[in-house]
Amino acid sequence: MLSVSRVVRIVTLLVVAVAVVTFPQWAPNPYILSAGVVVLIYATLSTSWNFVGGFTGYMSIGHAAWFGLGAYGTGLLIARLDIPSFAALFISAAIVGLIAIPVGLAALRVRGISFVIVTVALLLVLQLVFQGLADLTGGSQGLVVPRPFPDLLRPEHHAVFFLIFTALLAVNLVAWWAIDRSRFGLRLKAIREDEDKAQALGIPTRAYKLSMFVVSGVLAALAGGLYALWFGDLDPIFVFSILFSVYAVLMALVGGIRHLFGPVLGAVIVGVGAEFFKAGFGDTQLHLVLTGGLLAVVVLFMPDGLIPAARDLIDRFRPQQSSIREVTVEQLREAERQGNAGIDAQEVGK
Amino acid sequence: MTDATDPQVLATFELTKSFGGVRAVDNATVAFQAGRINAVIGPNGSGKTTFFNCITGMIKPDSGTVEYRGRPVTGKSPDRIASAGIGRSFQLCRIFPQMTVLENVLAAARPANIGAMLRAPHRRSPDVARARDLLVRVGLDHLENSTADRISYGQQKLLELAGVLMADPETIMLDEPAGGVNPAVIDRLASLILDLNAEGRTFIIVEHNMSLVMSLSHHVVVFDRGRPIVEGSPAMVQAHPAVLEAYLGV
Amino acid sequence: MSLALVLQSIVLGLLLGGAYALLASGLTLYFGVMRVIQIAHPAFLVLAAYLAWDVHQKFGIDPLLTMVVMVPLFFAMGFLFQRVLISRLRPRTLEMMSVLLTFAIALIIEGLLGFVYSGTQRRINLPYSDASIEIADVHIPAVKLVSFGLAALALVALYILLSKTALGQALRATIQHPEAARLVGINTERVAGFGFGIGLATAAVGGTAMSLNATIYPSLHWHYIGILLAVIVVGGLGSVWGAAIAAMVLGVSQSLLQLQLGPIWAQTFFYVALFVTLLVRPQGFFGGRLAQRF
Repeated sequence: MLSVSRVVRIVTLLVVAVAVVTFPQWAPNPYILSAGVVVLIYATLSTSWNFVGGFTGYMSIGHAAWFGLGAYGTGLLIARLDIPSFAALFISAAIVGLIAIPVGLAALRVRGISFVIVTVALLLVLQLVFQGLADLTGGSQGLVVPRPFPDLLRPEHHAVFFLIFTALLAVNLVAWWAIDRSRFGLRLKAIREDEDKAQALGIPTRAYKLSMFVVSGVLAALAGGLYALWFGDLDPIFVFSILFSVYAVLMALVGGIRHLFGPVLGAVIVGVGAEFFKAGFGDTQLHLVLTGGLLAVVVLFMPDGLIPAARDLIDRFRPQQSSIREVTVEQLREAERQGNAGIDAQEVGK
Repeated sequence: MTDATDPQVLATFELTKSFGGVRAVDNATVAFQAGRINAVIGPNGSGKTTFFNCITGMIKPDSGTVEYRGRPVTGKSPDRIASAGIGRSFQLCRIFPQMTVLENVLAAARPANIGAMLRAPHRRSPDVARARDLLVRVGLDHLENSTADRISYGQQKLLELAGVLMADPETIMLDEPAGGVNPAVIDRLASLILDLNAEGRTFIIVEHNMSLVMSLSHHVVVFDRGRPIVEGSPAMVQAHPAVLEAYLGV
Repeated sequence: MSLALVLQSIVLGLLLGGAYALLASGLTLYFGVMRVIQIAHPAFLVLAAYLAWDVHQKFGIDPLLTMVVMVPLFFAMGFLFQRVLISRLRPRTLEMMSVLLTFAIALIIEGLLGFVYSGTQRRINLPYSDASIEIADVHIPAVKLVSFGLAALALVALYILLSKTALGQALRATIQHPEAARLVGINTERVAGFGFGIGLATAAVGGTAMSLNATIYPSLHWHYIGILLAVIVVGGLGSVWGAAIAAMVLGVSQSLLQLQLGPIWAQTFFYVALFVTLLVRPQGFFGGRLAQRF
């Protein structure tokens, strides 16, 4: 039984992986392909956000700060210092990692709301600084980043970057998966569930949180650097954008922050939805209303995301002993209140 | 089993903590001796839990010092104090609600090295075996795969104790272990405490259940208004007029 | 740099600080009653400014008069906002989720404003728009004085409400000790609703003041979020008067720094102040006992 579901899982994973990797071949046109790159960027950013958000429960809404720093770092190293593109990418990510240490120490001193404030403030101040340093960064005029493969035509350029972003997403996912199943991950999740308790048990919570903060920042910086190489033009308002950060959070929440593929699923749903909306209705302000509406609905009605919600739904139609384990007491009480007979309240231990 | 010549393991000196204008702990100087079961009793609001929190680093005291095994630990972070060998439970029992019972215990163990840290917990690894042994010991082995928020409150108390033990502390501080649980669980807890003490672990217990305190402890410290007023053997404390006064407010 | 210029900057900074203080008082109230950071507060402010502009555009009514309707309207919106939306969130994750929820509301308001009124910059032209007062070489635009006056009046009204009325007493009890407040029979849920109502009512006043002296556009609220966060952190989360003092100090500093550094770098000062506060004194510099819990 268990091994069958495992085989199904592996086969599904392989099919999806092959479909994604061959996407540049079967994408109908370069526009769709570039939209695919955008969705991949979202998926990568959201998964990298989930190292902090998912494991420790600290929700940053300034995650684009790392993306932007990685992008500008890469762009500036290439444009101003003539460093080769991919060397610049990794150097810039390393620098961002170093910056993330003191910032993380400061931000993680404080909990809950104060952490959110620090992350937002960091993003906003970077936006100002990169606008202010116009001599260096080009300010609002933008920074043009030379392309790494000048000989490639536009569709080929998209195709290559699609594959590179896929690889980066894969690195993100493998790292998240490895941490999730490790003893380290278990102790991280203890912080998410009850930080004081975790600390009283001897878990050095600050070092644990900081390590995830830095990993999350470096992975976002890599995504940002690749974005700079792919897009070739940077604007502080766009890369250090709160809206972009909130997209990362929204996507992770839509899919489910406790699940490996939660952010990816969310990115596909929200990203594809957004692209379709743009194609259908143009660039009106309504996309803000829709994004806000979706965020509100998820926060109010589905804070655990689609994956657990779908699992509950499936389990409801499969009356087994094991199904009961997937639901929390809270959900059971909710179900009882709604008079749902599908879950036997006596199964609850208290 | 123990006598008064045992070295003191944990001592506070003029420990003080105020909240707003209220001195929750007021110049408390107390010494606990190794190998004993010490009880801290006192009326509600006499500062026992704040005293615990100051010792374990959950709250920074305004002034005064805490020494553990002769070393100052005042104001250190809770995890460093825990690593120094002090484990604690909470008044309203705290567990990791969304984890399984086994994961709750396992989370408390510091993996031996980076490799073990980054590997998935293996069924045959020594830590998992030890976590299982502890669950057998507290009588929760049949529930190891249940989610922790789905077991009863009494079971959660036992689970919390198992988690504390997983970190292998020499000194165990329990904040109202018998609070809100049924007599069968209290008996189980009492015999566990006695066994663990016989293994050489020191206990410091805040408790309101007087019959439990009197039957378990070797030494009792009575708190009133944030400071110890009387300490001594259970029998001595029980007969002391100041204790009655503190409790009855005469 | 002339002395007059410096004096002028100080005066303008104080006037600006008054507006920030009013803005921050709303945020402080929400935080007090529910431990929630209301990201949408500046968006409601911009909404109020747009409504004032629209009414003036259509009927030629002075925004100061429109306020008579706007304040109760926003009070009701705030009450419903808390009762219908915020109170639905699970207590365990309230802090984080409320940020996201109020963020969502801010996006919806911004999007709707952009959709209905377009992204064009708007400004109200009043008979006294260009008037200014001159004392010893210091020019002060009349509208800035009027909006400072509004902010000051609103703050005084808030002070009287909090210290002299039964509702104020219930609010303060809820802010200081929710459990104790419940024990003495205060319906803290309802009181939290009123807290949000009053918070949004201050946004209505602030929005009116903004419509008088600023050019408005739908995404303007982003400009205020960082400033407000800095003000309430430096002041001490949860302290109305701490926030007011911080607002004045930061407002004057911004105004003075602008002389030397220009607007962009002067703004970064807010974030520097915020980071320094969190590093050195996370409970804030001016009061704010509540913040010690964070």
